[in-house]
Amino acid sequence: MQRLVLTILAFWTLYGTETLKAAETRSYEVGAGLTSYQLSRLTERASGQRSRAGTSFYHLHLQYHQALGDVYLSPWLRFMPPALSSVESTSKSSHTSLMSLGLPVLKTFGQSWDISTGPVLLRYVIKGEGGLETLNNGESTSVFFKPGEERVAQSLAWQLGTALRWGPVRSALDLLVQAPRNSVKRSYSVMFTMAWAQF
Amino acid sequence: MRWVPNLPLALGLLLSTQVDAFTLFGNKAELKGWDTKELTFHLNPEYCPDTIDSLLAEAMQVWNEVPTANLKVVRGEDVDTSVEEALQGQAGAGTPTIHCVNNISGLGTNADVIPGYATAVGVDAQRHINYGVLVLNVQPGARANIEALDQGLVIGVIAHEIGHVLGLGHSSDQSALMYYDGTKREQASLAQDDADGFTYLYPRDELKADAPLGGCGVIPGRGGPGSSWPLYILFALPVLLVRARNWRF
Repeated sequence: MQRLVLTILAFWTLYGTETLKAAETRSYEVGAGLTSYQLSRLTERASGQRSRAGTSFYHLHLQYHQALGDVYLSPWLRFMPPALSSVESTSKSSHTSLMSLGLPVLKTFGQSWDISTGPVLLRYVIKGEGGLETLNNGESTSVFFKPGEERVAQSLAWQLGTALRWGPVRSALDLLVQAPRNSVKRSYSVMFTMAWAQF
Repeated sequence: MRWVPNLPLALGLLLSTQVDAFTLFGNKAELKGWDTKELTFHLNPEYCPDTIDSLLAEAMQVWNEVPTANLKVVRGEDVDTSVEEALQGQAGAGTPTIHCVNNISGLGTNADVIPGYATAVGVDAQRHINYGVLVLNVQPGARANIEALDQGLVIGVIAHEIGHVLGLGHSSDQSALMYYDGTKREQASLAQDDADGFTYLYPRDELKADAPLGGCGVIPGRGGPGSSWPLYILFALPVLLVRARNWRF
């Protein structure tokens, strides 16, 4: 039954896309930005006081805009490479990467303002070098294992965003809600992105 | 273009790497986490302070908040297993226990320095953790008696020891809950490093079996080709909505 539903949906989606009103415009953009990950959830201080700004990651940004009627379908890819994760992340780990893939619907208002909403897939990769580390433990020291494998966590989020345009430059502010239906795990992240748009 | 000469320095700063990070419990082999999605801690309430229920709840909440991890930590029924029995592995596999000990010096621990510790972590043949004992210091007159410490610090101590039972070792990141010295801690919370470690041991994958459509539990999916259809609908939704707005056959 699920296969049947899947097949019908796939056909409807593809066929529907083909028969949509012809695209009036399409564009793409490249840029970079800052992700404030998990606002008011994690700490960056020894006191344990939670950081309202969350943990910061730099990200690279690619987005494509396809006009469909009076709205746009605007998939984006944002990638925080491992090398950049060490800059702001309190984990100071050079082996953590965050990739996010969004598929929002975007609505423009005039030439300079748009809002968007849609699902986002977050892919969080943690990779360790392995080996041993001696650290304090109580009144002496102990040897601990450092992680030696690659583990991947994938979670879904929902995006609410807005953006302003000045000529070819588009600056976007997006709110990501992770685990929106789970009151304990629900967390909020903000992505600020500056991009150069090519029309 | 005056910024060009500073570019190498800026890039150097951006690309500098530090590898301070979480470690894993144990020193004989890299351990995997518990082979479960819900880990139940059982408490022997004897000698525990009246506030132990709320202290445990807040300490467990710290770990349960991590959206990228798929392990839920819960409080189970009270037990009467003594700490001595638990340390000898008699509490039974799969049942980590918590004990308040009023003579922690008798267990060979410095009661003025150590407010709590986790020990006797057992491992099965697949290197999954399957046993653990969490000990809290309530020794009268001891400086590290948790009843004499600030509540925020005590929650941090309990959350830290739960972290050990979950499979995490100490961290060299001073902001991490798993940092070896918690005396500066006023509030129990995780650093990104702790969340990374917890996620490393228990990665959540909502594209597979873990709570599709944004998380409403940890009920395993049935797998197979049909298991991804909620995800498909989620991502196809924008296209379908646009399609509905521009209906043309």
